[in-house]
Amino acid sequence: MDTEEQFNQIYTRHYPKVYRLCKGYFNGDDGHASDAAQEVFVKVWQKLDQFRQESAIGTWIYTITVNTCLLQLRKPSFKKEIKTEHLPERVAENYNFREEEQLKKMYQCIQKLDETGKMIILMVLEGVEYESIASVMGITQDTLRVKIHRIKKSLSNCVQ
Amino acid sequence: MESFNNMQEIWKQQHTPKPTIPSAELMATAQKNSKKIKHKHVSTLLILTITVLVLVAYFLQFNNGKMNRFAIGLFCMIGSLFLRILIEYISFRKFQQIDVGHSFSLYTAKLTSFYNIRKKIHFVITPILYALYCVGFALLLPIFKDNFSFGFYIYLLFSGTGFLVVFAWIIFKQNKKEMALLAFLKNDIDTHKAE
Repeated sequence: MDTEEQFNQIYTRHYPKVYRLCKGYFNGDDGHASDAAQEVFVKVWQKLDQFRQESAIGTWIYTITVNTCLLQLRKPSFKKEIKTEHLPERVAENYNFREEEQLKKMYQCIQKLDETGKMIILMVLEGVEYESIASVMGITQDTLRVKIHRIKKSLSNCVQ
Repeated sequence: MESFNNMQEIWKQQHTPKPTIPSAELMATAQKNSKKIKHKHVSTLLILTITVLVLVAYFLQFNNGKMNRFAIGLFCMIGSLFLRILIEYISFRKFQQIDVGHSFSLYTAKLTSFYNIRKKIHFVITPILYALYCVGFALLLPIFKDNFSFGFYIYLLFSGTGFLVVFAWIIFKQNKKEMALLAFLKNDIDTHKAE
């Protein structure tokens, strides 16, 4: 498989998760999420030949995603305070009103976490394995478990 | 944690749009960005080289290597601008070298270290260079007054001062933004390292 074909597959497979992670980080703002997700894949393409396969490709992409989202703060166009009006309006068709409200509440509660907590819980919500999250964040799995327990509790309390 | 599992389900079911840009376009954008960065590097190096060559040529050719008021003033002004561009160029390269593939904690540590250096640049080196530029400008003013018409002298005086004010404003804005980012990195992100 040539590099372009490999990238194409990576892009199609990982875009939804990267997009949702960025969207969660930017409080449900589609514009910022879309820009950041595109930037992530531009970097993935630029650095694909440097990927040393020490970790899974997914882990590597998540690492680039969390670092890229953080770096959006450097851009002149970026406003750290994203208004809550940007919260998701469109949800899956089989959603009911209660779930939609809960999703909005989740976005609001995630914003209350510190940056590290935000990144961790967004990956947990995506179902990323703990081993990968620890590698992305550069912390031990034990520390990660403690953090996740604390964040889950705080998020559950906030959403209810 | 039943409620959390429920949240996870809701999270995964939310609407996610398909990529709006085809992969080929992203690859082209990546290539364009790389070219842009390369051009930026080359043009900065070109500007710096030309500045040095012009200064040296002027000094040897027209001033016979003598350090008079005019030469000192000119050197102060162009020299401070030269150093400023050089520092920005080195900073830009250093920033580019921070690997986005590092783990989040290592990446933020490197970013913090980068912005700590920038802080030193903003609070120590930049004021010195700014003062050097002002000294150079002040040294040249009497020469301008003696050698140019009054109208042109007034034009140089106001445009030079205007440039100083605008330059100070740009530096201030950049400084404020970078220091806010440094504070954010230290306060909001460093927390997990202490745990």
